[in-house]
Amino acid sequence: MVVEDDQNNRNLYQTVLSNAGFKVEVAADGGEGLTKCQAGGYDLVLLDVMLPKMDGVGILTELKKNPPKIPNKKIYLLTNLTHDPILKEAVSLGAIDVILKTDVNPEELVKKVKEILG
Amino acid sequence: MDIVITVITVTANLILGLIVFLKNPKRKTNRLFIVLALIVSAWSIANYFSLKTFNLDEAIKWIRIVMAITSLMFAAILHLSLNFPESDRSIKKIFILFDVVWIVATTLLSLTPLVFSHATLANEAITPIPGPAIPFFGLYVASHIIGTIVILIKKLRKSVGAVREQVRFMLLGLAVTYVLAFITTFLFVVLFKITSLVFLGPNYTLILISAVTYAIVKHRLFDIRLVIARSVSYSLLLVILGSIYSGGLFIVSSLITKTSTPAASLISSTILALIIAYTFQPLRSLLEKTTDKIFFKERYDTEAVLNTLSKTMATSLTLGDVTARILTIITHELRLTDATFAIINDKDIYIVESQHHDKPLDMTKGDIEKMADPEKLLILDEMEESPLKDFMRKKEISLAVPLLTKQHFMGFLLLGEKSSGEIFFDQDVNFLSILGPELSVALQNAQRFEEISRFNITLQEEVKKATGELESANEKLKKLDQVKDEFISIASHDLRSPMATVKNYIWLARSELGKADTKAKKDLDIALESTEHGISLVADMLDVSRIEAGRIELNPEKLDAKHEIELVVEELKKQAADKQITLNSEVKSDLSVNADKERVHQVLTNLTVNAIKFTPANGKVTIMGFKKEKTIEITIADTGIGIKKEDLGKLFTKFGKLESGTNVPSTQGTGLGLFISKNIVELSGGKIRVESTPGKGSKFSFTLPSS
Repeated sequence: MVVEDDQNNRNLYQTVLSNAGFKVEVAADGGEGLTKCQAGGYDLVLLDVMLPKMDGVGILTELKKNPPKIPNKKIYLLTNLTHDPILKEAVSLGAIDVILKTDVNPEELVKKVKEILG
Repeated sequence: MDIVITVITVTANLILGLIVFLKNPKRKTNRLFIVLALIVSAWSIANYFSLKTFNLDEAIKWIRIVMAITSLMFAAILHLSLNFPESDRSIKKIFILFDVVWIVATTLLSLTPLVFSHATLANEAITPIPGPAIPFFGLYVASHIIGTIVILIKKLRKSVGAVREQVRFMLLGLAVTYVLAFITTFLFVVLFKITSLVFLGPNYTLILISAVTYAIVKHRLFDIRLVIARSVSYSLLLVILGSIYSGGLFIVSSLITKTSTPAASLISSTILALIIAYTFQPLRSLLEKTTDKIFFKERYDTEAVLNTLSKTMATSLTLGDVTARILTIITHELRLTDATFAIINDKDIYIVESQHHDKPLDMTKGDIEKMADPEKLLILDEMEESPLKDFMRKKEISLAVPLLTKQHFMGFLLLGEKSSGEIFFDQDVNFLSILGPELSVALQNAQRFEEISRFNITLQEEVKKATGELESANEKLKKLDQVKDEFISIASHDLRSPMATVKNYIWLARSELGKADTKAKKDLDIALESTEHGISLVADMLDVSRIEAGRIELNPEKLDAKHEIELVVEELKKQAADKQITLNSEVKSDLSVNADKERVHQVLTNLTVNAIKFTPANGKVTIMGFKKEKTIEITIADTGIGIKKEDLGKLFTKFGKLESGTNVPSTQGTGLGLFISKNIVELSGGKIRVESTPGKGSKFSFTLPSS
């Protein structure tokens, strides 16, 4: 699942990942992201940090408080923040690592997701 | 002989009378005094004539005159006492009038045969025979003598200071005169029938007149208690020694009657003389000490008190402390009712009062300045009548000690009366004269010390205030820094977001192109490269701003640098290959370091990308890692264009991009990479350096702490 507020990026990630053979769901803001995450069961959540309604840290905090019945296997942060204290907090709340959006082109992202999901 | 004594007495009395009168002819006391002196002189002369004649008729006339003058003399003494040294207004006029009538009546009566009817010769001396009115005369004399003494004793009790001393002098003079006169003219005549001493009578009047003259004329009266004390001690000494000697002689003489050897009597007399010679001195000093204790209860040892005060002055620092202590000592030693310090400074007056000061001294700076006579002590009893004297009297100041240092007049030590009502004697005046300058210096020191202390406190407060201001300014700055940091973080994030989209879509567009569109692909590659450049510029700017704010955070962890080197080689291999450059690593041992993983990666990437950038085709870039003692050293060596010596200095500065001699497009670097790398390495506890030979290549080395 990709939680991303920028429509263009969201569409691109969805297209690229779907083309690579993954089943992709998207959420456009923090609220939607939280609802879907709370439903649970995702193999991977790519979570943006700066989101409308509720930010990535907020979603992680809520998930930690009320863990979904069927857990999400992996949560990665997909953001443009670098070395921000907020990232450390997010990692402490359950995110595995950070993927910097500008660091990866779509091909590299697909490669990364493949790596993560083995 | 009689004539000589009479002339001397009369002359002396008249001179003394004149001295007193001329001193202040308007004063009632002085007028009464010269009247007394005249009466006494007349009495002496009449007395002389009464004793000189052998004619009975003439003798009785002179005796009657003597009696008349006597009545006037007792009257004059009484009225002088009433007005001595100031008039007693409590006496009602009716009594005065009554007394005047009585005086006139008695004087006139004395001239008649009613007092002395006639004279006879008895034992070859002329003896007056009393008339029927002699008891009236006796009553008159007795009442006047008793009246005088009662008046003076009342005055002595009521008076203080100099007045008390004056009254005491007059009483002493009267007492001595009366006692001596009583002994020679009554006791000897009546009991021992010795009239040969009567001629001494006029001399005694000289004692009275002298004593009163001294009391009126002299300002600072000498302490007559000393006379009394010494008289008593010498009398006792004489009695004791006399008893010893006479007792001794009595014993010796009784012995002599038994043994009757002149040698024994000589020996015993010698022994007695020796005893007296040896006991005289200690006995005298013992008696003096004993009598001094009785008469001089208030006496103090000037030197000892000055010593105590000096010690106090030396050990007290603050003005309040030193003044309070000095007042306690002075009031105690001099037995004063109260004492006050009135010290003036620039604006104000500082008053410190002794304990038990019932009436607080209300004085202004102006009052003190009006009093200011820095030359000598102001002694109330010795001052001429003046507004200043009135002022001091009103404020109950008996003595003012000026406090004067070389530089300026500081104020006064103001003393009240002595508790005993005594005057300030020479001892006190000397003591205070010595004390004054010492006090002034001590007080000035205390004042200065206080000024310095006050200044220190002000200074401390100022520093505290300034520090507080600095702290709050610093706090604000810190807050501002944080806001700035957050702003830059958000700004860089917001800049990066559209760039990420651009980057993704350029990539997408490129991947959607057909194989034939090489031109379009090339164009998109340039766009992609520029976007990457923009992205790294944003990242570098963010790092620089954090470095400069000192807010860059490192998260050191134990990591294998060998792995990091291999990762970077892997990542950049394609980039190097595109430029036909060989990139590889030479790491033999395991390189375990303690550092921030991402930041180490950043530094390695920075340096390697630079090396690739400045190395021409067919060149070589090698990353090497060595283990040193407590650090590991990583070197990125290239076979590039090298750096000129003069450029090495600015290499690690901000935007220290070298334009000279490079054929690399300027868009390809931000110029911040080396600055950031240097800071990251140094913050991690390592060092970075560069060696370069232009045309041959460069070697960038940095160290990291090994774990």
